[in-house]
Amino acid sequence: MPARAGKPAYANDRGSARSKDPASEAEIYARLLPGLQVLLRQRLGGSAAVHDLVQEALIVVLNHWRSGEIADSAQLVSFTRTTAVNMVANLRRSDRRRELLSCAARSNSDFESSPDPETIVAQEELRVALREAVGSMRNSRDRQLLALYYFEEQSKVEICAVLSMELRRFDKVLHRARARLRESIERNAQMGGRNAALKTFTTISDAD
Amino acid sequence: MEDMSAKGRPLRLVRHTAREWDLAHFDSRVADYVAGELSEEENDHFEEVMLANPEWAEIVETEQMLREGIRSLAAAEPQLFSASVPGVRHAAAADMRAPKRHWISALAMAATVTFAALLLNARMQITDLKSALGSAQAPSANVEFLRLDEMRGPGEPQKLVHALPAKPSMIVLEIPAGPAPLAAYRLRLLHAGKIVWNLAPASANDEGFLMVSVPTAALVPGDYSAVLSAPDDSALPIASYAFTLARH
Repeated sequence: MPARAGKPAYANDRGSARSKDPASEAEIYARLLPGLQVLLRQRLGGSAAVHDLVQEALIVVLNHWRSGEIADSAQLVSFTRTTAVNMVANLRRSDRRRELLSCAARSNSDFESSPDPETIVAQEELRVALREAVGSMRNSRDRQLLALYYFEEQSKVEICAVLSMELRRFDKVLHRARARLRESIERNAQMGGRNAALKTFTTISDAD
Repeated sequence: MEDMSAKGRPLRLVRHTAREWDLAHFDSRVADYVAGELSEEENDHFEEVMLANPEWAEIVETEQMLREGIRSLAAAEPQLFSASVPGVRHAAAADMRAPKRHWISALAMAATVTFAALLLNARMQITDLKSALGSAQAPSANVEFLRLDEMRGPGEPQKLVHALPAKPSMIVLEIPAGPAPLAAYRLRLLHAGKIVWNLAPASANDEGFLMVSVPTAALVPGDYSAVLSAPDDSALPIASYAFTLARH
């Protein structure tokens, strides 16, 4: 992974109203998509609305870019983030309204809270990949650190004190754990086709 | 400069400084972002950096998976995150939650040895049986138990002396949690004014004892104090137990 991303081709594109340029727009779409997915997932959790909002936000961004309201690539990023955040806020407001209206009906429908089969498969595949990634960590203290941080939800400072560890080392352990998990997921995906864990987390665009 | 957002509200377009961050700095902030521990300003900036560098979004995505996955994995398979070496019991917090299993397996082994001994030699003396039971409690991992009971009596409290095993192994300290048990404790093992073992959170088992495993590699012969306190050190230590590890 490069330490700094390369300059996109549309970076020098300035001007008021832009003519429709499919190549530039495809590049904007491709560059914004991964970050937008992660951002919306962070703000909405595992909500099914993530996919819809990603597409909706990208349409709004491309329309504004085309009309020349977004002056340059620097503003493009800012505009995209703010659009996504506003959409999440609007969604929450409408969800709240819907919830209030259907409160009585919802209380009788337990099945709505059950995870769908695809989610169950994705969770299981993630667990398999994680087991492999954690199992490959030879240092038992590193494994303990992961449990204390993610499961016990202890603070970094507290864990460092318990394990007599520097904060820098703590970050390194997390970095390594992420790398191993990624490797494990990608290896499993290569062996058995695209797996559900990856699909759920990374390829909302594949469905299009 | 102002623009209109998707919903028609004024939207301030700020010239972003996303490229000021390098990958190392971004990487160091990922866990805090996913944990929701960044300030609002830092959070917004982080998201702009992520949008400007799509290659880096993958790191955040993996952190989201790690956070979500480890919760369910640690709940289902706590032994995977233990601090032990294979086959040896340890002091990991997750493992402390199920102290009874240890006694069940030790008792099962002891019962097996007892039964076998009775079959082989009906004339075996009670003392021999005790000896057999003792060895059965430390089957393959060379684990020794040291119970730090309070010793009461006239004069100075009597200090417990225990022989430090010659071979690398584990010593399990059995520490009384006291009359008013807490949900969690911190245990510090002190030797020559230094902390040689520090464990938190540790919980007491149903019998009111903390079972803390310490590898003998971390110990040398000499005087020790096991100091029990609240996990966050919010109050004075609850109890202190002195003991001596002697050369084998």
